[in-house]
Amino acid sequence: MVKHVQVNLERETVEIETDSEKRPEEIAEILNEKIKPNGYILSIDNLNKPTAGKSDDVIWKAIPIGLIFLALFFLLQKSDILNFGIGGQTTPATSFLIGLIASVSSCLAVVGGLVLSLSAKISEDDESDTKTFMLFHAGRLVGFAMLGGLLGVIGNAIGINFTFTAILGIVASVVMILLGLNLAGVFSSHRVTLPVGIFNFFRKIEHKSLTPFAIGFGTFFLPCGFTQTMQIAAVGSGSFVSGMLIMFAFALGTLPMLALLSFGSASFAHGKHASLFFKSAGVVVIGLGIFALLAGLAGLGIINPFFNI
Amino acid sequence: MNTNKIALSIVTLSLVVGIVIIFSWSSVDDAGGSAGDPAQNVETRGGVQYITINAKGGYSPQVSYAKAGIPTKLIVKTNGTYDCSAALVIRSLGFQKILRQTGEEIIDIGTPRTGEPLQGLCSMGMYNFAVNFN
Repeated sequence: MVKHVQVNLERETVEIETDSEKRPEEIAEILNEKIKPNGYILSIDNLNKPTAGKSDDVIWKAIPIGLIFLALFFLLQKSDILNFGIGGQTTPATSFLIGLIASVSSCLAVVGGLVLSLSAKISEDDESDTKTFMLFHAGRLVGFAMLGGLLGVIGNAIGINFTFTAILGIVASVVMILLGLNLAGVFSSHRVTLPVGIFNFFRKIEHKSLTPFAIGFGTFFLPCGFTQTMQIAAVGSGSFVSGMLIMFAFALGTLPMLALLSFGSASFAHGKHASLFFKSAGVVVIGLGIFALLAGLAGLGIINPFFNI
Repeated sequence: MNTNKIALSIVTLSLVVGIVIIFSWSSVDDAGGSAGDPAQNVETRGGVQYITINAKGGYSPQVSYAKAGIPTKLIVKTNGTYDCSAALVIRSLGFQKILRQTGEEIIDIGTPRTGEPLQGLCSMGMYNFAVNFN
């Protein structure tokens, strides 16, 4: 049935010539059943799709582009723009505003970095990424609303155990650095021998509805000073509805920026400059990951803090 | 290596230098006094030394100098603070608390000894302050 197979490691392609009458998609599916346990996945590559080609040159452009975004981000943190006062009572309206600020603050290093790396990775592997992103954002909104309501009722801060959130932040930053390296293409030259466990996990994310929802839900616990102060406000609010409204409005405030990151990734990923986008995103994510990792380690008292940003 | 790559390397290098500058740039006039000159944020009332730190978008002054050997309390002031600096951690005291958005938190730090600086951090670790005692 199969006449001829040619594997091209450099381009990461397998060419299969067959006399089967099935469509290429169906053949890929049959083969995927067999090779999945080994951590490989076949997808149909359009022959006229622009190949990475001079991928060597792309990284030369991607590094400065990524660094420009990192420099702008840290410059924004250093400026006092984000520190204007919001006084008085915490209402859903103020928490929406605080969400907007939080989504461009240093919280973006953890939450946004994770969203960008996961989105870019998912868009790179999967064509139908919109559903995954919708589920993630839905999970985040529902999670904040439900847990915020819970905080209002039990009046005790479940999300604010500092050590727990700090460890979670360190895990997130390690994931970001790994995905960043992968996106930037550092692993690609020896991808064959790479332990596939972690990337298998991310492939699973793409094919199950529950996983992106759960990850969105779990972002409630990621370290972010703004989230933590909002959690306290929810605790102080004293009822399920008011706690829920405060946290939901906060999550809604962070939505525009996070949606831009995920759906922006998708549109770049299917565009002409996909390769440049993935590598630049990789550089940005590595930078944010290293920042979050160092800050997290300092927060746990493992290393001395050597920056103040 | 062609000229294009050389140009891009130069851009990359200058960006790295720029980021390093951003990170190491801290306002010098922000320091609360110097080693020999206790700052305005330190005052002694009724035999107790009070050190005041403002928490909003980071801590200021970032470095304070106070006297060792007298009972000391730290006052952390918040004023519409929603950012990470409200989530205060002082490891040496085992202190972890999310401060009220606006108010004063008074923390007893006992009688500090010379050469044992007190260090505070926000929970995410990107803001910090230190008080040196001498």
